[in-house]
Amino acid sequence: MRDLFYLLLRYLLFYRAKIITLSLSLALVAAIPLGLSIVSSITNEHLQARAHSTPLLLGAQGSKLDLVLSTLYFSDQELPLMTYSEIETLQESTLTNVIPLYRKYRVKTSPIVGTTPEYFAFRNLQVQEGRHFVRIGECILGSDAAKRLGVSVGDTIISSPDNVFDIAGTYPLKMDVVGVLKPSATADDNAVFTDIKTSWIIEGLAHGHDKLENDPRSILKREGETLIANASLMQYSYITSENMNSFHFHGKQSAFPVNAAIVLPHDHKSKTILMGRYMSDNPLQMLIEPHKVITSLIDTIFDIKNLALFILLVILAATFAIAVLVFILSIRLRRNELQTILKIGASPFRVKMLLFGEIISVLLIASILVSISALVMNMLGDKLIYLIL
Amino acid sequence: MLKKLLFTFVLIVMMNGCNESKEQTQTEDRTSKEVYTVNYPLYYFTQRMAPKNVQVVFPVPQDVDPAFWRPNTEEILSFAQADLIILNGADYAKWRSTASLPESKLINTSKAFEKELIHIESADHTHGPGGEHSHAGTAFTTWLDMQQAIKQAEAIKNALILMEPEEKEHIEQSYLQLKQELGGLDKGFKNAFSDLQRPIVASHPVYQYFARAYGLNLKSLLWEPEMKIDAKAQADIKTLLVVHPAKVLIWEGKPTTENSDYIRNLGLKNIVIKPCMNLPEHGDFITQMQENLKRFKKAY
Repeated sequence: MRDLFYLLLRYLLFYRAKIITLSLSLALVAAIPLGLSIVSSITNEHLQARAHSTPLLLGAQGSKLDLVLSTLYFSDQELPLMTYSEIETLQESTLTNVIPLYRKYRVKTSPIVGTTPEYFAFRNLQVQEGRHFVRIGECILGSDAAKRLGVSVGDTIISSPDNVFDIAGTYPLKMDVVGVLKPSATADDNAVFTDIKTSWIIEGLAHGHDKLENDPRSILKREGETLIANASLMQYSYITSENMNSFHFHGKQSAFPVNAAIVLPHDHKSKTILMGRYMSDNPLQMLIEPHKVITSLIDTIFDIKNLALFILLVILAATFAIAVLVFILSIRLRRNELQTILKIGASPFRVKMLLFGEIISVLLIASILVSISALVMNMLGDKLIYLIL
Repeated sequence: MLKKLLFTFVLIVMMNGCNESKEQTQTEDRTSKEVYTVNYPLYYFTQRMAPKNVQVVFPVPQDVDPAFWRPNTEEILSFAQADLIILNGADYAKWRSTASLPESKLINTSKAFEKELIHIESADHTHGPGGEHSHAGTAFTTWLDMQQAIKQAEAIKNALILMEPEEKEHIEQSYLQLKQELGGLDKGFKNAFSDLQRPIVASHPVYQYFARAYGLNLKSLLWEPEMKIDAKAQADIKTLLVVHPAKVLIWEGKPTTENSDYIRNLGLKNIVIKPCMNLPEHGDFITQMQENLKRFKKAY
């Protein structure tokens, strides 16, 4: 038996280029449908889980899919705005709790999500380091956002400017990082969470007044008790304990913008009443069940996936046929070599075993490669979804 | 070596077990519900109606005016973790506008009479540990109108019933009792002040709702009972008395002997009507209001 393995090993090493090419081809053709299947299954699981845990979503009339993707997965879709008065109306109905969301700005690639403290309890997000935000100008980061931005508790981050070409636009806001959340393998991991009032400050709906006498560099001249400021460029706003009390909003809170709200009815009856209310007489807002939207999306994805799988299976069959052809041709090319083995005393069974061993080796190498790729897909599947979204 | 590894493993497992049980204990610790309030009248109303398993908290130190108190980070976190946060509304507790609190737990007790709130203008001034502040904006001593106080108590009652539905009967009963007492005070104030068109001066702009509810012809200074009446303050009251010839000056607390004498020498009576913003030194909200009424009746 040892001689058989020796001959097999020598053969595999001598024809390594052929063996590797063949194994890789088979592995690749098998891994693609398998990977597609794994990713779509993880996607399905994640999308459904987050959608099912969110009873209702309120948003301005528009695309339901955009509302769900933007609110649940913080994707880049720009949503039509509604006013905070819609949230207040729902809150006053005593049928539901409402969690407002305002997402427009970013810190580099991480979205800034303005919300209320209820969001963390609702999503069961735990603090890993630090604490929750308690004041305007504070933020708490998802675990990936903290890593990506390279910051931790005690550091500061600055919101990205709305439009770099708009010199009359609002100043970016420098925010204190007061906490980092535990990883949750959801879109929350890449978000920067602030109080909704902080996101309105970034929007330019509130501002504070710094005392000029505290910053002599900003003073152009003094005329008695009057200080005249110079034109020194302010690069960002920063809320500190000194200027916090001077921060104030212009206009009524009820007129301020929100993208969406997570609506948590107290019971099934309340949910039915609310759905009826928005279905019949509200041309400006829509109240939707996210799991229905996601199920419809997944059905479409599955139709496409099934088509892709069919095509890939045909390719897989063709590749296997080519592999069989390669083996047959290889045996023909090696006729003299095999005759020599027979002449030096090997039985025909041993020769057959040698050839069978070669085929098994190629399949084994291909299987190992497929297993590794499946494992990687399984491990990275979660992240992949949020990269895609 | 193997023994060491085994021991380390057992130790890690035990430590994990300890941590879990510690976490469990911490969660179990808070079996009672917590209701946070922002001023003494709301604290009193809530405490009168709250069932036994509800702990009512009023975290403002006794020497600070709750309207201008600013909580620190830990105090805001405690507010955020409460089951209910009873707010006065009418722009009271301005720290709320810069703090992050769960909206679903906030109860605005003056929502029912929001359209009747009084908007005022006032200059900045300083007294007490709160530092410089202004009364400009919305008048906030809503509870000095007993009918408004009843509406605020009703808002608290409704919130408590939503939080503890099985205690509905107890909460309703306590509310009816409180409503009766506040209604009695309302009647008492109305009777005491009926046909009282004479001008009155208040030392501080905190009696707007009181004056409106009970028909007082009232104008306010920006004085404190313990302040020194300096030349400017003297000029202020003399100017005011020319256009508003009052015979009574209402103080928020007992004035110093010098201040009391100065007012008496001007020909005015000193009366203390405590707005009861913070915990009283003795008695409670109802007894303090009864004493206010008694003092006024005695003065007239």
